[in-house]
Order: sequence, then structure tokens, then C-alpha cells
Amino acid sequence: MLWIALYLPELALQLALRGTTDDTPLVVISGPDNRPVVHAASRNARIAGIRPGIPLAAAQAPAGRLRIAREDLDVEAGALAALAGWACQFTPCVVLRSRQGLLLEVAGSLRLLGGVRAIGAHIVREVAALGYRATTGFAPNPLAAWLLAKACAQGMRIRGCTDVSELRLRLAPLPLALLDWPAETLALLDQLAITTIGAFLALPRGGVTQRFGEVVVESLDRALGLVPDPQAYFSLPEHYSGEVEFTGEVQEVEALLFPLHRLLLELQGFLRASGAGVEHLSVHLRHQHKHETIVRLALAAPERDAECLHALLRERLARTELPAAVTAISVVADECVPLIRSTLSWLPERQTQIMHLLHLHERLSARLGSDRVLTIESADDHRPEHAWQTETRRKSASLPFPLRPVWLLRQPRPLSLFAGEPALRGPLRRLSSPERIEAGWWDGDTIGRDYFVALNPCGEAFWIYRELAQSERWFVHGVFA
Amino acid sequence: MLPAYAELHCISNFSFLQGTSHPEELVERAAALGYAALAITDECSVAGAVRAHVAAKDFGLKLLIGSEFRLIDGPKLVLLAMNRAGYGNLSALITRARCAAKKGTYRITRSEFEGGIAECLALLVPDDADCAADAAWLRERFPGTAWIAVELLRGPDDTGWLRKLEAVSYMSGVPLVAAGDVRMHVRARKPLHDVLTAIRLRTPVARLGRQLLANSERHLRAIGRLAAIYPPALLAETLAVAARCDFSLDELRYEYPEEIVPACETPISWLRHLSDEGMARRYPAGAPESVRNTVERELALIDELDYAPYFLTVHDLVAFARSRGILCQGRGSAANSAVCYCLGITEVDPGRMQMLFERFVSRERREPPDIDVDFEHERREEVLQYVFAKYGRARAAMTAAVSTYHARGALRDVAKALGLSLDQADRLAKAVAWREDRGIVAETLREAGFDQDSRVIAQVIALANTLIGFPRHLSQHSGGVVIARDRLDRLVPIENAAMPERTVIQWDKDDLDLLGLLKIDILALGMLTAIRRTLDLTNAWHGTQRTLADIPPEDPAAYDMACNGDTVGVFQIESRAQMSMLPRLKPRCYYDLVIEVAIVRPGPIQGRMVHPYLRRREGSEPVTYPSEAVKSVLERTLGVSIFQEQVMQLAVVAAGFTPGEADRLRRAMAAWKRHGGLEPFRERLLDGMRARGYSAEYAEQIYQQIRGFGAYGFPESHSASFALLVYASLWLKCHHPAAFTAALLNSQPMGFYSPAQIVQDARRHGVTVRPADVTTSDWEATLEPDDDGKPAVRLGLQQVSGLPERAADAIVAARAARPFEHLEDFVRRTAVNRHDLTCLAAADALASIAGHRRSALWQTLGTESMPPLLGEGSRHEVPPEFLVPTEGENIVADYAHLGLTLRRHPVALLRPRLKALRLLSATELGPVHHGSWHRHLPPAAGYGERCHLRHAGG
Repeated sequence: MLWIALYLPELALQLALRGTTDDTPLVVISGPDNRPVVHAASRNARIAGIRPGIPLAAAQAPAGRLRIAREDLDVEAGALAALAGWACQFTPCVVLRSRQGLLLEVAGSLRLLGGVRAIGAHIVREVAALGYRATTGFAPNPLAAWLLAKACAQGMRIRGCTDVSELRLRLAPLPLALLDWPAETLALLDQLAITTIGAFLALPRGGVTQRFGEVVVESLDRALGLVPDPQAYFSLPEHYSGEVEFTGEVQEVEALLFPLHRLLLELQGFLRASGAGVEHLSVHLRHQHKHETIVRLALAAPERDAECLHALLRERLARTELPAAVTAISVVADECVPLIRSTLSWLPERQTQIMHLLHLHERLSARLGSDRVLTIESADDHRPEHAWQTETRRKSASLPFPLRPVWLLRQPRPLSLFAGEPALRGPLRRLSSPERIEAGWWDGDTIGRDYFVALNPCGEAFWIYRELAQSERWFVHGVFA
Repeated sequence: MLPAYAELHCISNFSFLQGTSHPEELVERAAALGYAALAITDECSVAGAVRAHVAAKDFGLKLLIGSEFRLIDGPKLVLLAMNRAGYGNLSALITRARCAAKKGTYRITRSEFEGGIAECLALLVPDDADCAADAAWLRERFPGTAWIAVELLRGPDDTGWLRKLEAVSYMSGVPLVAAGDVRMHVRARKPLHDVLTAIRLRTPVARLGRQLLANSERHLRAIGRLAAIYPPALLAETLAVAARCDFSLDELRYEYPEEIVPACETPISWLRHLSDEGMARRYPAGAPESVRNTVERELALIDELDYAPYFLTVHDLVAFARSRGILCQGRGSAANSAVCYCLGITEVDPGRMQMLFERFVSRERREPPDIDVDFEHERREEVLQYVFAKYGRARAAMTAAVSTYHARGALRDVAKALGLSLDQADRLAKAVAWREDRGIVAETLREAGFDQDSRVIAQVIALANTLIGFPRHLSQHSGGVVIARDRLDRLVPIENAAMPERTVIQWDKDDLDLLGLLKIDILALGMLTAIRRTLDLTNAWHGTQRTLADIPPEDPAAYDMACNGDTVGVFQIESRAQMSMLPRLKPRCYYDLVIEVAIVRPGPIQGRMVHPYLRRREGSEPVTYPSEAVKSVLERTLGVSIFQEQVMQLAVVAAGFTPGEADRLRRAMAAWKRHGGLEPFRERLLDGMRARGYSAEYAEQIYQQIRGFGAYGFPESHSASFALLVYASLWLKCHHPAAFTAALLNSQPMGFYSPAQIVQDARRHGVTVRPADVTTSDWEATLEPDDDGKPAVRLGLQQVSGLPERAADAIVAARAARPFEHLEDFVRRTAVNRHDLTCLAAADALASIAGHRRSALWQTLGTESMPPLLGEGSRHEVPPEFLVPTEGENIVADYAHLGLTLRRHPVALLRPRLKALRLLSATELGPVHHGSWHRHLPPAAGYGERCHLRHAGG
């Protein structure tokens, strides 16, 4: 057995930094919304005096501008799972350490990959290309490898080892705090001035067991390889889905290409691990307050090469108009096909298919781009001109509204006056009491109007209004069927 | 000719985050529009009623008191009180609905209305046309007193709506009446209403869509507009409804509880009896003539103003406290009287005080007397429980405190409502001072990097400025208690407070004042606890029976200490600001302390009173008065106003205000009218002073003082009582420093200083302080003889962080049997668990029986699994050798597990290194020459010592 540990220090921070090249100080916050606490701080934020554990309020004072990301355990879990899928290209035996990193059992792949040090260096390089910073450690058992990787992240220079007999020597200088022991146990040991694994091992075993429990002592036995340490391996999922969130908002398509590349590299690793390629691929761009933009890529033949996919998507993205700033980008590959299969026929299958409206919508969306096929939906706003919108997706139900005309003019048209009263192909007779609508002061598109249903001598019904500010100004805004 | 109209459905901003105008604004606007009457019908509340009532009297508007209810299983109703009985029923109904739900909410169902609500009118507020059943239901419960409110608010189909309601009315026989569902006094408040909705629903305005009101019709509309909208009959009906309501809050009469007076006595005769009794106790050799006369004069005034029951109620509380050995002291306008001294409410000996009771209780103002009573902070709850047990929850409750929006909160909430990010909202809020309540100016925000020209920022500023001063919720006042003769809930609604089993009324102390209702403040004061404990400790040590009253007056040694600013732990004058004032003011007598307490306050500081007073005191500025009248007010403070009362009296004697007007002026300062509401007062003041021959400059100066003092001045009547405790604690610190230190430690948390600082200060005064040790310490700090037989402080086990009191009790009990021999003996006999043992070991409290803290910790960790029966036999394990902790490590561990250390000061360890850097110590700084350059560290005590410790350790 030979294990390589891949430790990702401050994963939450790494995920927040991964999407951009912006070097504004950044903090990841956790805790309740009203009293957030700094969970991790980027290097330049730490230089500005921000330490994990202080309230966000305290962090904002010294830093001037500060980017803030919120800790999200689901995002961390998803990212780590995607990384585990990618790592499966090196060995089928991958273990996921929740929120912290991966363990790879590489004894079987040693020769293929050119020795343990070579593998280590290779993995660190490749992981860096995905936008992660990792430290590694290797040892004959998983826990020791893990401890060495964590020690490395703290700046300790401890050589990895392949021989069980060296373990005690290598582990002795490591701080006990690296172990996932209960905080209380670690605090007591700290009071006793027992701070390293070596000092702990020097205590009488019986006394230690009595005081700190079997579990604690047993965990060091595992690290020393004295007892077996079976692991549950990560099983490769059928689909790939990876995401990069942006701490700021990305306005330019150009800026998406860089994180996209990282995701495609990860996808490539995943596809290598599963011996597959993709025919369909979608890129999802999330926006604040707007539906996400989806760019779909359909390929003539299965593909796995990251550069090739990147080139294709670059083209597609260049033609995509962003409806708003992007807050996250994700790549989803739902259908992976074995790469050996090749497409035999270019011709469409002869069997005629019944195209449901939904299928039509999907097809059109795939052909034209999803943002070019729209439906009309009602929107929740008092202002008639804001009460409808075009949507790329159908919503289940439309909102209830009071009596409204079917046809709303794009621009209200001023009405001419006839004996002081509004007229449209003849004098208009008002049928209803005024409906007053005043709204929009918050976005600059303020209206204040009294609406009426009115009938002209031809029997045509209109929706007309007058301005509250200038009551002699009348407009027609809609036509009833 | 316009028709007449009375608005029957109107909520104020006391329907929190719904109503968008102050009650006063609604009343003023309704009066300006010529409304015949206005009903304030806040949702399940009358919290804004008193303010509306006062304003309605000012503007001569008829005010109806009512409330709006949203039934869980039914429609929305508005109830209006027809008379005092109806108001009582309404108040009781609100109480039931509020008490059935958690704080800030209410719960009411149809079942509450089964028998109707007598003497109340009911308005059904339908929200859809299927209200026929509701109308019939209401008619049966309110026969002849039910209406259907027709609220035509320019909705999609007002005509159709009116027709539907006419049909319902015809079918059910319930008449229609016009109403406006008013939520703001002018339409311009609509944006703020949208913002409040956003705050309430926690969603930015732009995303609320049609959850916002479609238009701003829910304001007080001009009668001409109403006439164009409503049929005349519906408008006329509003007058009919209003005419049936004949109730004013002035009818509420406070009635004292009866049980404070024995059956055959009147309140004044009983008060006379009690004060005679008290006088005999205070003056065993017979009271001096002057005191007798004073008591007589005061009793006459009390009788005339009918305040005897109030004094008796307070006396009852104080007598209870006394019977339980709880130290207490009264303060406030009525407290500094000879009667209160005789009753034992205060210890201010009328012989020692030259204060006039009449100065504080004004005959012409007829303001209710004000006595706040401070109790030992750890035992105030007993007094409150006594009140609730004696009078019952139906008769006694806490007064409310209305929390209002301040600048920061308003900015933050408005910014979030307008869609700014949390981060931006926070930065905006930080840019202003918390209480920058006179209005946020764009300038301040520009300095913080916000673009004041941007539409959003301009809107945020404008809206936040309006929001400042809006009430946001009711909370419990720190100690105000109202006691009624009968049911309190028929006087004012009672609701649940945040604290379980605590109830609070819907009015705050200003509301009660305005209605002339009485409350007593039952407050908690840590210093009383500390003084009682000091007295107990010294009495036990010396075998004396000394009480607060036995502390010798005007002791020069105590004043010497005060003049040096040596006052850590002394009541009121221990803050840094006070400590730096003391050497300048040099208090030499009791009245100097009264001034000292009042002068270090925002009022005198902002009013620029401090330096003129100090200069006049040291004689470098002549003591002059602009007139004899002013001299009578300011003579005792050398012509400079220090106390709140003086400033108000100046308005009276120098500008011709009546005492009532002066008080209105003070309220106006603190109240909502901060935007220009002071101008009329200012002109009156300046005119009045000019007419009396004062210079314009002096008049303006007085006006500025009133501004500063109105909200933040400190009254002499309170200062006088506080100064007594200042002196008592000063004297105890001076003459019994060990007992005082132990008492302070045992009364934590209180005061400005941490146990570490208190202990350091005691040691600087030569008090021996010994460590917490299981072989000698109790739970609390105790006194034991030091090497010279003087009292030394033995720290209590309370200092050991994480140790529960019962563990200490077990230790003390086991030790009483016989001393501990070794750790096993200790563990076996105390049965202290492992967690507590580790706490003791970490705090080094086991040193006497288990060696240094590491060795002790290792041993204690091993004790849990030790088979108790094997006892001695199991001690064969050889303990490993641990490194003996260094001094630095010990100091760090002391701070971590005791909160203080008796070893050297951490800086002492750094001193050699500091010396190398040529940094001088504080004592070395003493003799250096003025004007020469030296380097030194800021004084370390008190400034987060722990942050330096890591460097000092090791």
C-alpha cells in the first residue's frame, strides 16, 4: 500500500479565489446573517490584519475594499466530489476527506506513473491547473500520509516515507493539533505541555488510555501502521457537474473563459477516469435576479479533450449576450458515452417523430441558442408596462391580475381632446371608476396614473389613463378584444 | 359647502412597520384638513394613543380610541371605544389577544367576540365580496353597533365594489360607513410605506411587486376629494359613528392600591403615623426642631397634592426589602425629603442636606412625584416577585420602553430595502454616528465614499431621515412597575415581554406621565450589593453591627483619596473620565460629590459648563450672575448650570416660562419634533429673556444649554442620592480595602473594571491577596488574617473558570469534616467530577495537594476511572515527569483559567527587553524633565493584557 494525500487548506477560500484573477482582499464568512464571522481570509487580507474568527464588521474596518464570500458546505462538497472524479484518472482507489482533501492509493499505478515522487509532483501541478492549491504527503497508510500533507501546509518540511519502520521517526515532530481529536483533549494536552506526537507517544500508554480514551490512542496506532485502517472508496458518478462561483460579478464574456478552462480540465480528468467522452455539454451562467443563461453544445462525435471543447465553447460564448452580470459558471455533462463508439450515420433517422411543443422549444433552443426562444409571462409589478416579460422558460402558472387588456401598446399613445374629453375615433365614454396606479419611485421609472376602461362610438373598448401630475393629458395604453 | 367627515380607520407607526406616520402627524393633518374627528386604530394596540391624545388636545380635534384586529378565522375588524367602560373592554380584549401569543404578536379568533364587546362599536373591513356571512355574524354580536366600512381607494373597480357592499348591507341590515384605511398622513409617505413593507417582508422594494400598495390613496384625503368619491350618506354616517363615541384618555384615573393602608386609617394619617415611627427610630434622642418642621411642611404638601398613597406604596416595597436584608435606596424628585428619610426610603439625612423638597415636587405643576428605588442587583428580582405576588398579574405589570429607529439602524434597513447589499448597507450605517438623530447629511456619507448624487443614495438619506424616531417595537423598561387598584388590563393593555412570565403594558413612562398615572422604578444597582457585602465582611471581622447610616460623614482621608483619582471600584466616579476630573475638581465635601456625579455627563460637557465651573472653583474667574433671579438658581454651582433642573428653572426665572412650559420644552427636546420643532420655544425663550434685560448672547447660551441638557442632563435629585453611595463606597475603600475588594469580587459582574484590575489595585494599596486554593477558599472571596494580623483577601473558587458553584459547596462541606490529605482523599470525599477537577487543576487551585498545575492535571485526569473501593491500593502508577511551568507559562495559564494572576505583571517579564529598547516605565517617567523626549509604553493595565501575553510567556 502506498498512499498519497492531497490536502486542500482552506477549501472555502480556494473556491472563492478560483474564479477570478482579481486580487482584492477576500474573506469567507460563516455564522448567522446578522453577525457573520470571518472563516478564512486571503493572503492579502491577512496582511491587512484580518484573522479568521473575528467578526466581519471588524474585518471591514482595516481592509478598505473587501470581497466577501459566504461559506457554503454544499458547494464545498460538490467541488470536492468533482475533484475526486478527476482524480480517478490516476487510480480507482480515491478516498474523499470531507471539506479537506483526497487520499489516493497509488501502489497499483506506481510503475505507470513513474514513481511516487513523480506522481506527487505531477498531481500538484495538475491540481494547480484546476485552480487549487494542494499540499501532498505520502506514506504507507492513509492517516500518516494525511498528517504529513497537513504538516506540509503548515510549512513544516517533513519527508514522506514509503517504509513502515520510518513512520515513528517521521511523525514524532508533528503537532498533535493536526489530528482530528476532540478540541477538549487537545486543550488538556496543551496544558500539560504535550504538543507533539512524539511527546505524546512518550507518555505511559496505560495512563494515556485511561485519561484520553481508547479511540485517541488507537488513532495513533493507525498512523503508525500498527493496526489496519480500511477506507471507503469514492465511486465515480455517471455524470459530471462542476461549478465556479464568482465573489464579484463578471460582466465580460472574456473573463468567463479562464474559469471555464479549469472546469473543462476537470471534466477531461473525469472523462479519462470513466473512459468516456461527451456528445452534449451545457454551460450554465448564473445571474442575480435573472434566470440563468444556458449555452448548449452538441457535438457530432464524442469528445473529451479540454482544449477542443474550450475552443468550441469560446465561439459559442462570443455570440452569447449576457442579460446581466454572471455570478457563477458551471459545466454539466449529463450524457457520457464510451469514447470508442463512433457515430455511424450523419443522416437523421427516418422515423418521423411527433414534435411536442416542448420538444420544439428544446430543439429551437438548441439550434438558435436558448436565449432566442422566448415565451411571454406575467410579471409581478403594478406598472402595466412592467407587468409582463419575456422568459426563456415557461413558468407553471401565471399571476392573477384584475381586468387588463389583451393588447398592451408598447408605448402609450397620447389622445386628442374633444371638447375637453379624450377621443379616439370618436369621443370616449368612460365605463369604470378610476384605477389609480402609482409605483416605480425606486427604479426611476415612476408612474402615477388614473386608468379607465372607455368605449368609443364604434364599440371599441380601450384602456386609457390620465397622468396624475397633469390631469389634462390622456393616453391610450391598451385595447380590449 | 363641503360635507363633514370623521376618519374611523387609521393606523399610526405604532402598528410597527405598517403605519407610516407618527400619531401626532396624523392628528395635526386631520385637524388641518378640517376632519370632524379621527380614530387611531392601531393593530391590536393602543400604544400610540397617548401621543395622539396629547396632540388632539393641542389641535382641538376629537379623537376616538380604537384598534384594528385581523381574526385568525375571520375578517378584519375595527373596534372603537364608546366610553370608559368600552375602552376598558377593548383594553382587556387586546390584553387577551396579546397574551395568547409570543412577544410582538397577537392571536384572536371569532370566539372572543361571541358575546360581543360591550360599549364598543365594530366596523367590518371586508376584503372580498363574500362578506355577507361575516356581516350577519357581526350584526348578531354587535346589534345596532356594527357597520361595514366602505374603503374606496381607487382600486381596479371601486364602483363595482361599492355596489357589492350595498347589496351585502341591504341583505344583512348592517349599515355602510365610509372609511379610508389610513396608513400615512400625507401621500408623500408612500415611498416610506413601501420601504417599511420591504423591511417587514425582508425583501427589497424592487422585488416586492404587487405586495406593495398599488397607490398612495391610504393617506388622510382632502374632504373635497372624499366628497367626489363617496356617496354623501356614507360620509354623513361617519359623523353618526363618531358621535356615539364619547371617551377621552383624560377620564383614566389612576387609583392607588388599597391594601397599603389599614382599614381604619386614611392614607395621610397612616403616612403621618409611619413617619412619626420612623422619626423616633432615626432620632432616638428626639428629632431636632428643624427636622420636625420640615416633616410637617412636607406632609402638608403631600396631603394637598394627594400623594400619600404613593409614598406608602414605595414604603411598602422598601419595608419588604429591609425585612429580607436587601439594601436599597430611593432617588428622584420626591426621594430627598425628610419624610422619605424617616420612612427609610433614603439615607439622606435632612440635617446634612440643604435641599428643598419643594424644589423637586412642584405644587403648581402637579406632576406625579418620582421616586426610583435602587436595590441590590442580585436581589431585585425578589422585590419584583413580591410586587407580582402581592398585587397579582392582573394588577401589576412592567412599563414599556419604546425602541425607536436611530440613524444607523434606519440607514441600514432603508439601504437593504432599496436593494443595496448587506455589505454596502453596513458601510453606510457605519458612516454615521449611532445616534446621529438630528438628521443624516449627505456630506457624511460622501466622506465614507458614497456618491451623494446617485439617486439611490439620495433616496436612502431622505427615507432614513424620516424613519429616524419611528418606533420599532415595545420592550420592557428596566424597572418601571405600574400597580392598579383593580384590573390593570382595563386601564391599559398588557402584553407578553421577551422574558418568560413577564408582562409589560403598552405605554412607556412618558405616556404614563402625560396621563398622570403613577409608576415606581424598581432598579438594580450592583454597588448596593457590593456595599452590603463590604459591611457584612467588616462586621464579621470586627464583630460590629455597622450599617450604611453609621458610616462617619465627611472623612478627610476618604476625600484625599478621591482627590488623587484613586477610585477603582468606587461608585460612579471610577471611570477614566471621572478619574481625570477628580484631581481638578478636588471634592472636599458631600455636595462636591453631588456635582462630580453630574458634571461628567454629555449635557454639561456639550453645554461647555465644565471649564467655567472649574475656573470659578479655583478662583481664576470671578463668580458673577447676570441677575438676582439667576443667582437664586445657580448660586450653589457658582453661577454655572450643572444640573438638569437648573436649566429648566432658568427658563422659568429668566424667560418667564411657567414650570409646565419648561417641562414641555424639555420633553420637546427628547421627543419626535427634532426637525424644527424647537423654533417656537427658542423665540419665546429669547424674547422672554430680552424682555427681562438679559443680553442676546446670554440668552443664546441658555438656549444652547437647554438643547444639550434636555436629553442628556443629570438631575440633582438623582445625583444627591448617588453621591451618598459614592461617599459610602469611597469611605469603605479607604478604610476597609480588603473587605471592599472581596465584596467587589463577589458582586461581579459590575462596574468598569475586571477582577484582574480590582485585584491589582488592591495589591497596590497593600492588601494581601492570596490565591484560590481548595484547602482554604470558599466559593466567594473571603477575609483571613495576613502575616500582620490585618485582613487579607483569599480569592474564591468562583474565580476558577468553568467551575460550578455546587462543586465549591461540596469542597467546603467535605473540608469542614477534616482537611484533605492528598488528591485521592480530596476526590473521594468531595465526589467532584472530572470536568470540575480539570478546571481546578488548570487554575492551580490544587497546588497544595497535587503539586504544580501540570502534575495536578495529569493526576486529576486519571481519577475518574479509579475504582473507589480500591482507594489507596490503586495508586501504583508512576506519574510521568512534566516540565515545571515557567513563570510566563503560569501567567498565561492564570489569565486563561482564573481571569487574573497574582504573579508578576506580564509587562514585568518584558521589561528587560523594553529596557533594551530604551522604553521607560511609568514610575521612571515620574521624575523626567518636562519637555525632554522619552519613549514609553501606553499603560498596560486594562488594555487587553491578554494580547501581550503570548509574547511574554515562554
